[in-house]
Amino acid sequence: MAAFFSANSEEESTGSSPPVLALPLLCAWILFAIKVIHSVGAIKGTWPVYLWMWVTGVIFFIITYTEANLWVLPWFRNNVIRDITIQWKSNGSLVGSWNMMVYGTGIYLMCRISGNQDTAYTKKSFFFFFLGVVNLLFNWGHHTYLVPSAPWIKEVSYIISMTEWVIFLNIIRSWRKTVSDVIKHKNLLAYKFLFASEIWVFLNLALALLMSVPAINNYTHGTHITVAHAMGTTIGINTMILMASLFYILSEIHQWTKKELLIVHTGFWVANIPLLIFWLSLIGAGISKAYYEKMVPNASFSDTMTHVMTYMYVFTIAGFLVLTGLTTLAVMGLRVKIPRE
Amino acid sequence: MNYKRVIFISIIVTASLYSYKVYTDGTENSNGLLTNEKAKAGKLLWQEYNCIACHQLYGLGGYMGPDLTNEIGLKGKVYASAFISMGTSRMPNFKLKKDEVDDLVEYLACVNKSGEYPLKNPGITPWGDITISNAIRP
Repeated sequence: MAAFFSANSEEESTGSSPPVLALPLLCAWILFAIKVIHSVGAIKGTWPVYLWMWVTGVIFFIITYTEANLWVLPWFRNNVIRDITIQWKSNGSLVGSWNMMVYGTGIYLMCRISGNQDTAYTKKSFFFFFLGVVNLLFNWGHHTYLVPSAPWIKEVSYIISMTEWVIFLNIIRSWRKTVSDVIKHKNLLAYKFLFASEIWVFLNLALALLMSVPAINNYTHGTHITVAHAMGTTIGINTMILMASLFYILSEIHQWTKKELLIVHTGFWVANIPLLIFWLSLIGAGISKAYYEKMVPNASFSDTMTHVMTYMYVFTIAGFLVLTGLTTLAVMGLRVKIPRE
Repeated sequence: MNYKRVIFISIIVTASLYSYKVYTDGTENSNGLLTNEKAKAGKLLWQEYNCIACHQLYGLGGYMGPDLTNEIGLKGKVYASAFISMGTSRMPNFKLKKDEVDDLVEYLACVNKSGEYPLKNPGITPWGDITISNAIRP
């Protein structure tokens, strides 16, 4: 506590808030975790996989959030290598914890939409849950391949990261079923968002797998490709799953008019197509930055950034369009009047 | 104790043990130590002014400014002091006192000693791994 109040500095890499502000956030998450664990704990018998995902996600969010603030203690921050490694360890796992909760919500929604809970109890679902937990705990090291920490950290991460090929191949294998489900549920707004999130999982997992190979990471690291991965995951996967949840709940209590549906569908496409351009422009910027940094001897920072700027203009325009699409969806959601009872 | 509790406790214990190993053996690189009080003060200034929002260390951070891991080694302390003191057309002048500029420079000098980035000659293995010459060795 003393360290939090005395560290006259700002939270590293995760944002720019003074460390003391981390305390109310931590308290809020602890209260949320108590509520989740209390509610879920009351459910007897075998849990569906999404309950495991929610509980694991909320517990590890608190652990990794605390870890992200360990730099307030001098022992952690007074060694450059330890400080950087732990920052990226905690941030990598923090995102993994959040993703665990959001993906759990995605599976929950799929079960509700299909009216079939069986998929939440299969061995395959639990296998992927445990694979997710292992990746949450150990694959963060792919952020720090180029930091001179112990080689075993990177070797563990490399091996664990490559297990995600199993998830990737499973997506390809079940693609036909996914497409037939889309046709079956084409009138459901929530399913449309879930399908979009599946496409984003596919694209981002492909990118993540490539970036997790150290020899490739040597080129992509420190470039906008890392940002593409982060943005694609945050907006493409997480936001689409959260939108699916929102429109699933709203569709239960509200009868959409034709005009409203048209606006929501338009918002969906205005968010997703520019997001693809946004994502590709970041990858283009990253390739350009990597080329000038690694292949052109003596290229200055400003030379490199001059070549990146074209992609940044496209990125900015696409970003505004993504914002427009998401705002349209949010406004349509907020317009729905929730019944009192 | 029910099996759910056992599973959660096992996962948390595994995570804690691995974290302990990372905090100690995994990152105990003496090259990375902030060796004097000025460098330690510089580290806090680095965070207070949120330098990482624009700059990177080891390729980690924002992309508005250059990576500063080895900037002091390449261009020297005087050059870095001038940049920090005056700002540039793209970097604000934070109006730091001379002592504060010296602290930041000292911190960056310690970062410079901690390793090399970007790697000039990474050793790439046939299975796609890379080796770093100054990484911690058991």
